[in-house]
Amino acid sequence: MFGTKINNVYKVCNGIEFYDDYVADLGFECNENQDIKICIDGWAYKDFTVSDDTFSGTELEYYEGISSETFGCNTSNSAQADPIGIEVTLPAQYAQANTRVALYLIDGGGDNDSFVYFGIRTYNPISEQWVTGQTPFMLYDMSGGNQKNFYSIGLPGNTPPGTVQWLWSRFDEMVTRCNTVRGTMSSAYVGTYYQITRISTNVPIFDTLAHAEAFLVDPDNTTGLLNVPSHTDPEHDYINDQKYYKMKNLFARGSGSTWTPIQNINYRIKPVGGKICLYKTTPTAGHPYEWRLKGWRNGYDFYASDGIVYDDDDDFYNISDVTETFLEHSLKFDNVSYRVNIFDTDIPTWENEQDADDYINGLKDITEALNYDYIARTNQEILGPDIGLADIGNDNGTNGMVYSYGSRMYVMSSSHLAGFFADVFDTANINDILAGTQLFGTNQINAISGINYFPCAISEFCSVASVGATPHVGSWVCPTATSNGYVTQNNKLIDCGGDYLKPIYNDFRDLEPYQQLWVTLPFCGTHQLQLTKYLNKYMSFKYSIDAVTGACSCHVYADGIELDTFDGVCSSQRPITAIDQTTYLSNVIGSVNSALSSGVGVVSSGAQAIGGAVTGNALSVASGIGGVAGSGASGVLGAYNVLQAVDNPPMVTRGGSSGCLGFFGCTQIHLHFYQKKTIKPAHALMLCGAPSNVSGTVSSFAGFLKCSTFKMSDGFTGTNDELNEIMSLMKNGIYV
Amino acid sequence: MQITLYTQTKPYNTITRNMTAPITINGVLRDDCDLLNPEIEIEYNATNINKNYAYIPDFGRYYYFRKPPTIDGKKIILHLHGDSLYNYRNVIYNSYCVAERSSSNYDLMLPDSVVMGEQGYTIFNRVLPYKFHPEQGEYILTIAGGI
Repeated sequence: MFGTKINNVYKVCNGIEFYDDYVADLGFECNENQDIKICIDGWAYKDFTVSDDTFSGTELEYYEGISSETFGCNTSNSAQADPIGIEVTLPAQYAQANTRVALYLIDGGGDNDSFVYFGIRTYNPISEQWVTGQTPFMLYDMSGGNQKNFYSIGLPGNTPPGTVQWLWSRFDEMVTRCNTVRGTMSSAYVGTYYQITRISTNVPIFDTLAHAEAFLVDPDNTTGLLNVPSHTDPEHDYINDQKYYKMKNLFARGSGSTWTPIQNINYRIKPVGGKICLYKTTPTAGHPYEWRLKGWRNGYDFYASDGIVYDDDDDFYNISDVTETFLEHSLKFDNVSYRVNIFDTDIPTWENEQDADDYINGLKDITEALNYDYIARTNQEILGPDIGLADIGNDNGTNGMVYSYGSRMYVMSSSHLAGFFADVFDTANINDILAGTQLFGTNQINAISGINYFPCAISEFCSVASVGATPHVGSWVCPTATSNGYVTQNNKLIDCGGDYLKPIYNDFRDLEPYQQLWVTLPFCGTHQLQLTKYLNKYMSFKYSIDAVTGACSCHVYADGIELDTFDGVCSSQRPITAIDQTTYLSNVIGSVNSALSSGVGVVSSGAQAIGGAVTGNALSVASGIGGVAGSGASGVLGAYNVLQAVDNPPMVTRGGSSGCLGFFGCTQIHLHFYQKKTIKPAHALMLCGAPSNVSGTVSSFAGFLKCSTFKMSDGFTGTNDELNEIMSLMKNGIYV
Repeated sequence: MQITLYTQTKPYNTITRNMTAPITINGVLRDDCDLLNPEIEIEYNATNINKNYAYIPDFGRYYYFRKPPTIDGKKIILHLHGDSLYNYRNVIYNSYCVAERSSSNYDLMLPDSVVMGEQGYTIFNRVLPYKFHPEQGEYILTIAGGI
């Protein structure tokens, strides 16, 4: 026996998931002492655009169980909302000897309302004969099975089966009636249901009958096996019906006999439930394509345009004739010429059809695709570090200090505070207070260590106990005052949320110095962050606040990893005694003076830093493309440098504030993106290309090509003058 | 010598050519010229004078007209220059290079001088939902005492 557990849900086709309770047991034979297990249940996603009494929200979420009211498929018990679901365990003694069994998918047809059925195929390896006619399983009493929320699996008008059935019949009932239906509700609920049939079984399931039969004859042949664990990256492997694949056609042969390049066209491709990929082929007269698009949907292979829809969004090319136009423009290869068709795509691309099959069948991981780097980049994934351990998240510490003994930090509102001081300054309590504070000698007011005002609920950053607790001063207990409790631990971070920083251009303009990121942090000032660290990541913020001093730190995270921290003060100390007052004034005035003097410095040095960074980068830009300057761009670059050097964001920074000054600053975190205004010519890529630094044979390039280095290969029979002329042309740029 | 004249419509800084309407005629190589810059005398003909590209089998090379033909009585003088890019296209295709700029194999994260900076910045602001409330905060009263 072999077979490994699937660790994650693995969706294999539109509307069907195989999940990880049971996986294919490839050594399966019915005469072995094992149970046959199959569990089918229905789930649904709901996607509502209008709230109603029953559902709300627009997000996709699981809705376990499918009721008759919502799906109308349980008419035998229409008053109930029973889920479709069954879990059957067939004890081994019921199995029929010498029979291998496998399931396979059958496409019930349709695109947006596709039905997926199962077939079952059995084989006797002893007699080497297919078992037909008679069902392969012994009689099975359903009433003895482990039924999971089962009442009915019938379609409207169907009567649930009786208590005694052939398992074959049970399969038939389950797989044909628990089909996958995608549809839109038109009744009281406004929105769309996506019904998912979830299947878990140890019976091997194949994508086609042919693959199932191949396995039954030769168990080593597992092509098309679906409920198999092989994916290390399930996030990328399930079918996401919402996903559009992209193909940017850079250069290709035009229609007819012309050689007008068709270029820079964006296609958006959406498989109707199924996997798609590209693989290389050798062009022939009959199939003049270097690349073929292959996919798998509901048990069938498809090629070319079958099963693919194209979005005609304004930003994308509107394909009127999918088959002809798409293939002509994007995939057709002319083997007469050196011309190549070049495109960028996040469709997984493979070296040959076998690899493509393996990918579709789940035997190859997407990370092995030829273009995985591009896929990862465009899908904004993180390619893990090559060395060391991947940082899977930040591990903030916790303050374990207990504050409740000896001195207490009472949480108080203004009215609580008024009540407290009313007790303290009540002359009737003087003797009791003095008696209770003898430990402090003649300076008994020092028993009150401090009053700090915080701009949020104390419970947001502290654990608070005993709401309603009575304040103690020394051993004196206030006779009437109460509080909102007292701090037991200063142990919480305030989660301020975050945002995903997506690039705007997907090119160098998304980075410094062309784009700058500044943050304004309540109580911690305004700061420039290094945008590169946060781009394509989820940027989030948390505050830690010291309950004793009011000092605060803003922690800034990229995908959960803390990369920056800024400090400030977020509470205001309220003076109690004259000494407190003096200290308070000294602190506040001192900090204001310090901020004023250093603030100028901050602004000045900040401007210098910005100017320096921009100028420095622009200079490097200029030096990096000096060749272009030679072709007439030097004036442009010079002006650009000057422009960059003097044109900086009008941002003034300062750090945290003291006293209550911070309360008058911003109270929410603001992100400011300064995007340098730029002009990119519309046809620049076609006319003069883009920075490359890629090496290869000239034939591997298309369109404009300007070489920094060119080595004429052996076989050149021209003169030295001709060689020099060619070298000059290559270095000034030609069109390939 | 034989010379075949064409109408060629591709710019000379492309590596491919689009040659149509060939006519083959006889011409005479003039003195004081070389293989790369030959000057050929042919008989005047309105068709001949509207060509812009040539192939000389004896030299095994294609030539473009480096300047308009000179008409001298009943003769036309063709001022040719060897089309090195097209004559050696196959060996060029197989030659290795490092591309400084390319329309096909490029890296968009490399700074590009073609993209010019304008005066000023476009500013995008986002605000996160969490908000401090200094107008309705709370006090911490720290007192020595209690158990």
